[in-house]
Amino acid sequence: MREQWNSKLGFILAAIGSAVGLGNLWRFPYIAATNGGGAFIFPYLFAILTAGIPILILEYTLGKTYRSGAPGSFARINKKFEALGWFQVLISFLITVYYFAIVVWVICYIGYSFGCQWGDDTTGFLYGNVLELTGGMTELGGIKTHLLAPFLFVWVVVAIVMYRGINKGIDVACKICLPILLACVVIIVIRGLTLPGAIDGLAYMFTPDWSAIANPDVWVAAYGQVFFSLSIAFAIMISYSSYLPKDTDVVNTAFLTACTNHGFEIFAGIGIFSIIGYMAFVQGVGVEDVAAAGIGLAFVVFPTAVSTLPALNSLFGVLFFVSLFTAGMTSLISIIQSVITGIQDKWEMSHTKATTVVLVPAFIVSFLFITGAGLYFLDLADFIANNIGIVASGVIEVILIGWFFRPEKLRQAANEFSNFSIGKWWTWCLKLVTVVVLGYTTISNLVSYFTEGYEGYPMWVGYIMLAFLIVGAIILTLMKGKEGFYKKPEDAPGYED
Amino acid sequence: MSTSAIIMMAIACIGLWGGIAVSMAIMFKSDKKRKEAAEK
Repeated sequence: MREQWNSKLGFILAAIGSAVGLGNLWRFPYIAATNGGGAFIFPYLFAILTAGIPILILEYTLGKTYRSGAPGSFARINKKFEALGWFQVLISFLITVYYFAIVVWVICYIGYSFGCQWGDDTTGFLYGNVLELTGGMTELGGIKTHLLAPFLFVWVVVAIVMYRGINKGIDVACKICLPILLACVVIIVIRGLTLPGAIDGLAYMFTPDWSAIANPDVWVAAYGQVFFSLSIAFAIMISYSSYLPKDTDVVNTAFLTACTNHGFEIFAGIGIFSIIGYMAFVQGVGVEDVAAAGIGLAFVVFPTAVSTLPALNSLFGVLFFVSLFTAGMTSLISIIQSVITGIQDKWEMSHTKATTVVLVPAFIVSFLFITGAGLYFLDLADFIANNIGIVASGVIEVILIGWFFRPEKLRQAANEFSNFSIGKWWTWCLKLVTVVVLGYTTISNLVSYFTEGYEGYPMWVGYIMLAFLIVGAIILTLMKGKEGFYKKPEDAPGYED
Repeated sequence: MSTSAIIMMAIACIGLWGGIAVSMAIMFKSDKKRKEAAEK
C-alpha cells in the first residue's frame, strides 16, 4: 500500500518548502533589478500564469493520477516516455550532490556570523579561508577538513528525515523549517525597511525601465525565474503528488503553491535589497555597484552588509543564514525524495532499501564538492543541471504530453476534484506558450554551451555530466522493473484510450 | 523612490499575496463543505 500524506497541509507545506529555496532569496531580487526593475513584474506575472501554474497543475495531476514518481508516471502513459522520467530523476541526483555543499557553507556562515568573523575582506574570506579554492578543476586540493563536521551534520539530518519517510520525516521537517524561515525573513524585512538608504535599494529593484518589456531576453529571464523557482521538470512535484489522496484539489493547490513561492520571493527581495541599499548608502556608492546574485550575494555582499549594520550585526547574520539553511533543507529533501520515489517504484523496494540505494552513492560523490575545487564542479554542475537539463526536460515534457498525448484527458482528471475548473487555456499554454519559450531557451543554452563553453571550464567535464544524465536515463529505462511499475491505475487515462 | 516604482511594487505584492489569500479562502471553504457533508 502506497504511503499517503497525513493531511493536505502536510503536502502543501512540503510543496511550498520544495519550491521556496535558495533561488528565492539570492536569485530573484537581482534578476528583477537587472531585467527592467518594476517593468519585469509584467513578464514575471505573465510567466507565472502561462507556464508556472499550468506546469504545476500538469505535474500534480500526473503524480496523483498515475500514483508513481516521474519515471513510473511517464511509463504508465507510454513505456517510451519512461526515459524522460529517469532523465529528470538523474538531474535531481546531480543537484543533490552539489546542493549539500551549499548547505554546508551556509552552516559554516551561521557560525562565522558570531562576531562577523569574515572581517572586511568577505571575498578573500570566502575563497581563501572557507573554500580554500584551488587554481582550477584539475587541481582538487584535497578534502577540506574544516568542512567535514558541518558536512556530516547535514548528512545525518538528511538521512534521518529521508529514512523516516513522507509523514514522519518530510512532513515534520517542513512543519519545523518553514515557520522558522518565515520568522527570520519577517525580521530581516522589518529591520531592512527601517534602515536609511533602504528606499534606494527598493528603487533599484522596482523602478521600471519600460523599454525592457520589448526585449525578448527579459521575457526569457522571467520564464526562467518562474521555471527554476517552482521545482518543476525535475521529478519533484510528480513524486510528492504521487502520495496525494485521490480527492485532492490539485488546481487550487497549484495556485496556492505558486502564489506562496513567488509572493515569498517578492517579500524576501524587499528585505534583502533594503539592507543592500543601506550598505550602499553607508559606503557612499550606488546600489548597482554592490548588488549581486547567487553565491556572491549570499557569502560576499550580504556579510559585508551585515558588518555595516548599526547594531545586532551577529543576530542579523545568523537570521539570514538560518533562513538560507531552512530554505535549502526543505528543497534538498524534496530533491532526494524524487530520486527515492523513482527507484522504489520501479523495483518495488522497501522505503529503507531505496533510501540506502540513493543516499550511499550521493554521500560518496558529494565529497567532491568539499574539496578545494568544489566550487568549480558545483558551478558547472549547476549550469548543466539547470540551464541545459531542466529546461530540456521541461520542453520535452510539455511536447510529449501536449502533442503526443491528449492533455484534455489530464485536464478532466485535474478538474474532477477541483473547486474551480481550468479551461482550455491550460492546454494551449502547455502546447504553445511553454513549448515556444522553453524551446527557445533550451536551444540558445545548448548553442551557447557547445560553441563557447561555460566560464572556461574543461568541456570534457561538462560532457561527462551530460552523458551521466542521458546515458544513465537510457540504462535505467532498459533495466527491467517489476510488473506493477508499468500498470496504470484503472481510472487513469492511457495512451491507447 | 518614484511613484511608478511604488505602483509596480504594489502590483507585485497585491497580485501574489492576493493570490495566496484567494487560494486559502477556497481551500478552507471546500474543507468546511466537505466536513459538513461528512457529518450529514
